[in-house]
Amino acid sequence: MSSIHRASAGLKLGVSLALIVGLAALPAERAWWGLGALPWLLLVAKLARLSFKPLLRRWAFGAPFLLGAASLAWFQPHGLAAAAALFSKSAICLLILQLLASTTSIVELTRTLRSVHAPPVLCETIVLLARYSSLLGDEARRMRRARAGRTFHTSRIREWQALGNALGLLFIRTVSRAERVQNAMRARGGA
Amino acid sequence: MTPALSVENLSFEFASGAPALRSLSFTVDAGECVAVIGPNGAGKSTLLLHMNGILPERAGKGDNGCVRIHGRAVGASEAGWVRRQVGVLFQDPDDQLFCATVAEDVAYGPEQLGCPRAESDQRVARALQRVGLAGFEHRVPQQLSGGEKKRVCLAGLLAYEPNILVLDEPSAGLDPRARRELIGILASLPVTRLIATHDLALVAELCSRALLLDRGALVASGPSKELLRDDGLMRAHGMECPNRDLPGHLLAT
Amino acid sequence: MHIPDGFLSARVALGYAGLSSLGLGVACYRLRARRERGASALLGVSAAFVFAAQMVNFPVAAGTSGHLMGSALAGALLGLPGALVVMTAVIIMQCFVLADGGVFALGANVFNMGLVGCVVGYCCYRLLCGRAPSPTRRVASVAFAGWCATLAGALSCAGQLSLSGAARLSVVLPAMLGVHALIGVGEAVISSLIVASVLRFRPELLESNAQGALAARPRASAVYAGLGLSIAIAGLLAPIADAAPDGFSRVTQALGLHSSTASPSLAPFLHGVPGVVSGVLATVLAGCAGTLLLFGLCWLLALALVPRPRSTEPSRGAVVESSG
Repeated sequence: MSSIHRASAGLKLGVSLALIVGLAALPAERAWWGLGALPWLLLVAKLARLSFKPLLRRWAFGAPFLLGAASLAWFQPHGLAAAAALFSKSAICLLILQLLASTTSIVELTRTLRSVHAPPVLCETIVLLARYSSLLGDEARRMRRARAGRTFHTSRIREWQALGNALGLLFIRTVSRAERVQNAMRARGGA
Repeated sequence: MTPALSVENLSFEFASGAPALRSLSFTVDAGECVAVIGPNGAGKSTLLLHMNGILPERAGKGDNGCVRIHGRAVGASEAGWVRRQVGVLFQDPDDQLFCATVAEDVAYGPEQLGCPRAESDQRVARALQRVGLAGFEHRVPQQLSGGEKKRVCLAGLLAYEPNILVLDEPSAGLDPRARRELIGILASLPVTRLIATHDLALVAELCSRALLLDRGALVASGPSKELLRDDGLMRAHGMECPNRDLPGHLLAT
Repeated sequence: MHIPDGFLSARVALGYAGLSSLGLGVACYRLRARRERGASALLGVSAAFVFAAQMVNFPVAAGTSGHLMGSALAGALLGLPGALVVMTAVIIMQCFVLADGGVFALGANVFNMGLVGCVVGYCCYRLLCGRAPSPTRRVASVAFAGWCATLAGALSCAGQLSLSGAARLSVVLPAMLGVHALIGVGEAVISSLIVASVLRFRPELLESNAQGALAARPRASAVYAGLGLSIAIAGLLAPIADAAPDGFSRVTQALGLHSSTASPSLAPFLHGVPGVVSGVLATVLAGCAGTLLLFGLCWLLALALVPRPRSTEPSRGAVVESSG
């Protein structure tokens, strides 16, 4: 666990936000100043012992969407410059966010939220979300594999039907699980 | 001497009207380990959920019998007290492990009781030690194996020290080593234990008495080894013949 | 519809963060008043479901794919305050785990997909359902509500981008609305499939919602709807509402917001173009016709999805699964 991982989530969040706000405040002509943050971000990645290739891959995954959104700025005077400025700003922000995501766990995040007096119901919902999303994902995968094992021929309509049915069933199971979790909470909650 | 657990004429119907339990009556003495066996759909899980008042969800559906813990009837007004006395281990550990880390989950019970931080930390450490998972405090539930999850759930119960443990299929889904470890832990606990299970070898090894349920009714009750040796009874209620399958020493008196 | 960081100006991001915090605060307050221990279990696990469901992509047009938003669905199944908490949790998770949607833009994203999505979705759903709706009507309502919610969210998103000066409204609005009108169809289909499943296996979940745990009481819900709609409208129309572009630029100059990037170009859109009034009217009429057509399609979809009641349906309602 690197020093970056160990740093408090509040600090990491604060620094990230400060950087992002700073970038947002840069007017279009000076947007390229944002690139100055790049070496510092790469240094942070090095300190956090994150390997560059997966980081780059994840960034490259999200970048085309930024490009598409930035291209909306094209249709105005100085459109190309505006679009380029938007893309460069958002690309740096994406890297900042990904570094934050890689070095902060949800547990720390919820602790930070609780310490700033975020509503308890929201914090509990986030904890449960984090706890059960991978489980639901596994269930969905198992259902898909089981269905694929007995499917011999599909058409687009059938795919949609199958998807809808699977999601519907998954939600029913979700509710059943929620009831069981609620029972388990009440069993140890004494009320 | 008041029995730890006493069930009198307990009946229960599902919302659809289907009967789940029909006039069950039995007692469990303090320190005893009693098994509830029977085919699927017999009502074992439903019975267990009555032990700490989770069922019936709404009181007052006519005369449905009574569950008493140390002589006190389980009802809405006693819910807090009852849940402190009775710890329920649910069948699917994922339903019970709902906190972000192991330490938080095991501390849930003590914290609900109002334990200060230092004491709850100590209880967590002791409980994890008891189940052989010392040092697992910062682990995340998603990374644990099935056996480890079950043991964390058990630790979560032991942390607030209930007098009665009610376990729903504790050995289901465990590999032989995890199962052996769990049986060892359960055998070492001095508290009253009520265990619903399909694992007849576990019953023979751990439980002095057994209750045979079928379609919501109590069909037989007595010393577990006697019940398990009765081939006719086992077969009549959809159970395999343990007399033939289990190692001889388990069923020897 | 998740806006990444770098597109919104500081003032827009903060402003919408303020509105979202307000809405979330009200929702949490309502939930706390009615909360029993463990009620957050349903919210949390449902949030996990929405999170998982949002990862499913479906193709909408050549090269574009969309995914479920879930605001209307959450509203129908959990009630308005619960749905808002669920959507907020999902958006926060997506930001911090998947880096989808920006951190500074969180407030704006929660506004679009949480506040606007849930309020518009829920109000449409409840208004269309009326009292004691038939299963078909429920499914049709949730389908249409899902489509409306998606469009409303896209509208709000376009407004935010335009207000920030990232793009002209005349460019971003048709682009967003166009794409999301198609994505909204997917949302309608998926929401209706899920509600049809729920109606088939656990209908009591939807009935109890009408009176019970997490939904507002009938009279209160009317107030809610009114309040919510006015907030939504204020938020949605903020960039469009100024019929006086000069007034807007006067304000921005006074506040020192004026920068060299293009300010929202509403002027050529609304001001001084001959026949613009009839053009707007025509657009509105076309919009209405299209909306009615879509509602009709939703009804047909619902008819297809809701099975005719059979006498051999298995009994439902068991809390405990019959494994012992």
